[in-house]
Amino acid sequence: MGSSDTVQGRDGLCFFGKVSATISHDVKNVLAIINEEAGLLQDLSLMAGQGMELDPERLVKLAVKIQNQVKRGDTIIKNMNKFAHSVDIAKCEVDFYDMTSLVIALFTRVASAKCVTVILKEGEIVTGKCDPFSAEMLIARCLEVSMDSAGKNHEISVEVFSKNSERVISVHGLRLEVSENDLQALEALSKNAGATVSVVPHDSLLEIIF
Amino acid sequence: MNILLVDDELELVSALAERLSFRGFEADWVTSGAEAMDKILEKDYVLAILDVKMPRMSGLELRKRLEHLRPGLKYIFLSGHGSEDDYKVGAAKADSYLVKPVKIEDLVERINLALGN
Repeated sequence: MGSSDTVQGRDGLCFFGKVSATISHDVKNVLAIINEEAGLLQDLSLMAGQGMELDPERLVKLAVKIQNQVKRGDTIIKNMNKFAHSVDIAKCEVDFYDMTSLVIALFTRVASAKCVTVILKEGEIVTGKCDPFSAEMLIARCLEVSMDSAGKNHEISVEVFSKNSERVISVHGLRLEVSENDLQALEALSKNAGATVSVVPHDSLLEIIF
Repeated sequence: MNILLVDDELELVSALAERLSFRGFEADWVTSGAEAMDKILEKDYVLAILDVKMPRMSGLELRKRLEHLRPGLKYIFLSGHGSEDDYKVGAAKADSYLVKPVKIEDLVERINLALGN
């Protein structure tokens, strides 16, 4: 086994399951859209066969929509693959910006359900060694806690940068107090990931430091 | 007969509505529960086809609100996975429950059944 040895077994599995379920919903939606667009093409073709005038431009637009959904599906599957491989090696060199970007992409549906907009500020490559799966689990939980703190119809912004020898992922936009239970859960996850997490209420800020 | 479709995936709901219109139904669509609550008052809708999982207001929550606005309205739920939880929570009370991607023939059949055609 790889890095899952270092993550408390069931919690790690639950996280893996949650992400997998989210991805499967996203893929289902893509397939459902392709199904309807293709069905529409079929309907229009049948109607054209019965003498209805068919605008070629309409067909082109439908084909482009299908291609766009295929691209969307491809991105979802690529992210899924990247995430699935994060359990391969217990400790390795990672790009924290890339990793944060992946977790935000995987949690788009969660953010949407919570009605919170997540913005990743442009940044540079920030490399360092960590257990990728544990780090992703920590980033994901921090994002969820931050979304809950920000509340419906608000925005959180995420920044990834180096400060001296530390790699920092900071989340701005927290509004409500983070519960003691959540803080304890973050502390346990951060230990697993070899990081520390601090919440600075008066700055509406949560920081993960590797 | 007027049907209202509600799904947060715009491309899905617009294509589905158009395909239903080719089959003789007056089908309108919106992409959120909030829009649906306004739209339902515009016409004499007899059936609502709702996505179970939508941001802000789920299909199940929307149904509760629509029941007050339009008593007697029939419902068909569309779900990505057809999870047992969704079904238990409320979709079981609907006139029908379909898992995406749907076959248009199945949907038409369920609509006719729900409307007693």
